[in-house]
Amino acid sequence: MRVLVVEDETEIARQVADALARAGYVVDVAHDGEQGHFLGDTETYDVIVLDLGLPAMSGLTVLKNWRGASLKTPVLILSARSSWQEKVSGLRAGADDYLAKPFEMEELIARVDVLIRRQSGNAAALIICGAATLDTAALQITMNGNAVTLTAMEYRIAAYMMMNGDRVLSKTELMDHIYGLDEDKDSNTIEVLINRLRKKFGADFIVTQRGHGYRIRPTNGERP
Amino acid sequence: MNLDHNSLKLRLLVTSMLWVVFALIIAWYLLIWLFQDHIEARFDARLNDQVAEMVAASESDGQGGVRLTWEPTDPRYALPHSGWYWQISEGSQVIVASRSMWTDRLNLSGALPADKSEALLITGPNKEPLRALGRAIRLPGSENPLSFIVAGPVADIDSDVAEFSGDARLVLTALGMLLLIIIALQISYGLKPLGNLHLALSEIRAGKSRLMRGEFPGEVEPIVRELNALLEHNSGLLERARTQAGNLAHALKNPLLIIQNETTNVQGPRGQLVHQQLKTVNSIIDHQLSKARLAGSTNLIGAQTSVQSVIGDLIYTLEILYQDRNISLTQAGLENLLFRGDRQDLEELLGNLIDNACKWANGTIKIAGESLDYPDSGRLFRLTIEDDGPGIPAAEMLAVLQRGHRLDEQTPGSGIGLNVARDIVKLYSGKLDLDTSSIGGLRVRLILPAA
Repeated sequence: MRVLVVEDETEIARQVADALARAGYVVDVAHDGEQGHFLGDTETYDVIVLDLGLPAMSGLTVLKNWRGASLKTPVLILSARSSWQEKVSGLRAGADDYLAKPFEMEELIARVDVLIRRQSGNAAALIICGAATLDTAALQITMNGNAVTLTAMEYRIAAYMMMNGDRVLSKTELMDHIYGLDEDKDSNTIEVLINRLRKKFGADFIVTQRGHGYRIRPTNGERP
Repeated sequence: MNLDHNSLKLRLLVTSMLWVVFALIIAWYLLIWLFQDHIEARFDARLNDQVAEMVAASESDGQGGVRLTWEPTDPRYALPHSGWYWQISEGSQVIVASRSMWTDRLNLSGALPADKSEALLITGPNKEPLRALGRAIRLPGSENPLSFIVAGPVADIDSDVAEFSGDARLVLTALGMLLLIIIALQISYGLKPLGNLHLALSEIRAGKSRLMRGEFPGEVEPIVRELNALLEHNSGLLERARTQAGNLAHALKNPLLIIQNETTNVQGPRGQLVHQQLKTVNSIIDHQLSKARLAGSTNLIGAQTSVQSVIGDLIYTLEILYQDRNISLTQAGLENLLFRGDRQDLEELLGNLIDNACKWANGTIKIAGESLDYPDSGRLFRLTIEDDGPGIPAAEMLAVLQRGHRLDEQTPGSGIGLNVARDIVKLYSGKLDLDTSSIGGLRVRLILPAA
């Protein structure tokens, strides 16, 4: 899961990025409106955390531009002003949630989680795919009730695939969602990661759709 | 023309009416006086002519008597007591008189002049007032001077004057009417720029225009200029205050957030103390900044806000913020309700109240509006916001309006929402009442000024 944090205050940006990374997200940070707008426009994110008081281009303008260009990524607005006028204009501009500063990091993570689950159509906190259960709050996947030990990369890719259970996911899409901007991308690692997951969850946990990509195996009876 | 009792138009109209009526009455008296003078002069001239004619017609009969070679032909001298008389006398003895005299005599006191003279007012045989002229002439061949007297009725003059006065009154009344109509038109035309001023002001009050626009005459232009400057200044002031509040919020909240996050790991009583203090600081900042953002009475001119549009925005916003809670927000009776005040103030007030309702509601929030008309307190409207949550015990209702007071520490929020709402309502001299709703939870009733 990739998150873009657009926040001009470097210290806050660092704290938010750290907290999100601890919660299992891949985080990119932009420090002004223009950079943020560019990243949101060109990279693929699952959630964007956007501060409204930004230099170069105001957060509201950035958001309006994204929505004008039909970018559908959920956006969580952060603001120091906390006036209703700002909440209304932020949500009218297309934001999905609003958080007033100062906030507890747990609150921010919880809201980002909700946005991601809502985006993928999973309202509940636990996402179940057959015998596997994803708990985004605990950063854990259990198999028949037993916790499976995963590396950070393995967790990222497994969680993303479980959240998009019914879809076939291409290698490019998987890479877009699990790698940060400054991480080296190598499409071979996806194959390596998929193989490791098959070893841990069973060979039929992930199906290869030749020429298209990968998919979590449909659970018995639930999906065709 | 639209007149109320204290309008400039009415003042001008009444004062001009007074002087027009006064001037016309004076003119009427003057005309009558002049006319009477003229008529009397004509009357006297006629009497004089008559006397001269009689003198010319008289000749001595050589024995001390007088003979008229011809008598005046005017039939009025023949009609008995017609008011028109002549008489020729010698001493106290009447020699000859008009037939209209019948057996009576005219008496002029004092010596008669020999030449043209002023007429005298005497009483005639019928006790009627007469205007008489007499001359004492000594005819050739007679010893004593003869008195020639001619008299005519004053009533003739009076009836002429009365007729004239009636006509004059008619003409002058018509003239007066015409003058008043012209004056009314002139006032209307002259004061038209003031009407434009009024129009421009009502445009601003209706929120259709931010400044006064249009052409105004030199006398009004300075007022318009000053008013526009004031409007600019006011809105500038408000914008500056809001920008400053925003900047201050930004400048304070970011360090606060950093400190809060860096001290999350401090455990025990020290960590608790730091967190408690940070919360207090944050709540004070929120409260003071929300106060600084209020426009209140500083921006009353041109302030008019559609209640429905504000509530529509808030419902849209809150439905997104609380979308996992499935709260149904219904509104009724908000059409055509206009709040006489700043939009952001109303958003802040209703935002806090409806947000509070959302926090507590089980699933239903009802918002209803109705306009009230009290003759002595101006136009008002009432808004009712009720939820089906747990409500507040009656004993606690006063306490929740205090700053930072929270009944429940578990539900997110700084606890200043209701308190800010109370401040805003107070600023607009409105009313905020809390009681228990028929659907179970808290009912907030607001009374606010309507535009």
